[in-house]
Amino acid sequence: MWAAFMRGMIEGLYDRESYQMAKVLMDASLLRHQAVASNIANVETPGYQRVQLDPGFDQQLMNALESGNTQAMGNLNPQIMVDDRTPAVRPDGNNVQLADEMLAMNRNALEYEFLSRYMSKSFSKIKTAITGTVNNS
Amino acid sequence: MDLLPAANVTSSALNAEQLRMQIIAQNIANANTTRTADGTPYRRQLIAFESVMDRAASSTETNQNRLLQSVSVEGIYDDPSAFKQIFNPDHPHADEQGMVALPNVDQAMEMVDLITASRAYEANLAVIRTSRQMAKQALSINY
Repeated sequence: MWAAFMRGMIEGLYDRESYQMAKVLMDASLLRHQAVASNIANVETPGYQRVQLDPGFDQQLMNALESGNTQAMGNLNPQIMVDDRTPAVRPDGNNVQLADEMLAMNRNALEYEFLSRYMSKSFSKIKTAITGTVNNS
Repeated sequence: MDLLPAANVTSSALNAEQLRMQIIAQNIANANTTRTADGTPYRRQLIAFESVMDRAASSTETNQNRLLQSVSVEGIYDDPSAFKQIFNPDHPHADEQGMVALPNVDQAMEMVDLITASRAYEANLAVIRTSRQMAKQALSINY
């Protein structure tokens, strides 16, 4: 009873749109990095088809955001899928472009950094609200 | 869940590229070897890569990550192209007509392959650096 009450209270702190959003985006960012890692690893493998984060994920995220349902946002599950639309530029059928992948990786790492800092800030705000003092450490 | 995202995918690629560089080194080292164990000149070796499903990721995470592909060396093959023939009657391995068969290794080709392999290696190193940075950032989330 007490445990359930406490859990409800704690979860209430995190049941905010921005928090759930950052959480899902961080998962997506990690998955995107793994997809890029797979692509760069296979840059010399004949016939390899590059993988990417589901392009429909952005739309799902927008829909969840518009519905205002934080539960739905937390349940979003980004997926990796094979990109067979990008045409192969090399005769071996491999459609990985190294420069594009490196660019995507750096961009994604920056996004991840932003999200992790945002998370830290979000936690420190909660702490400020709890303690009533601003802790700059 | 691994702490370093996609570490085994990247490390498989690093291993594969390293083996490829070793094969290239072997080809260049043997560019003038006119006798091998079976009595023929050295034959240029070719390495073939294939992508395999990342087993660690596919067993732990059922539907995600299934498409992540590790690199493995499918095999090392002989280059079937013809040996170079040069006229050098003084050579101990020359035949009756004075022709010596030299390995079918093309230095320029090997150098180009070497550069490609080392660039691919560098790209994978950049990935592992970024993975590390991301893991550090995730660990540094605190209040």
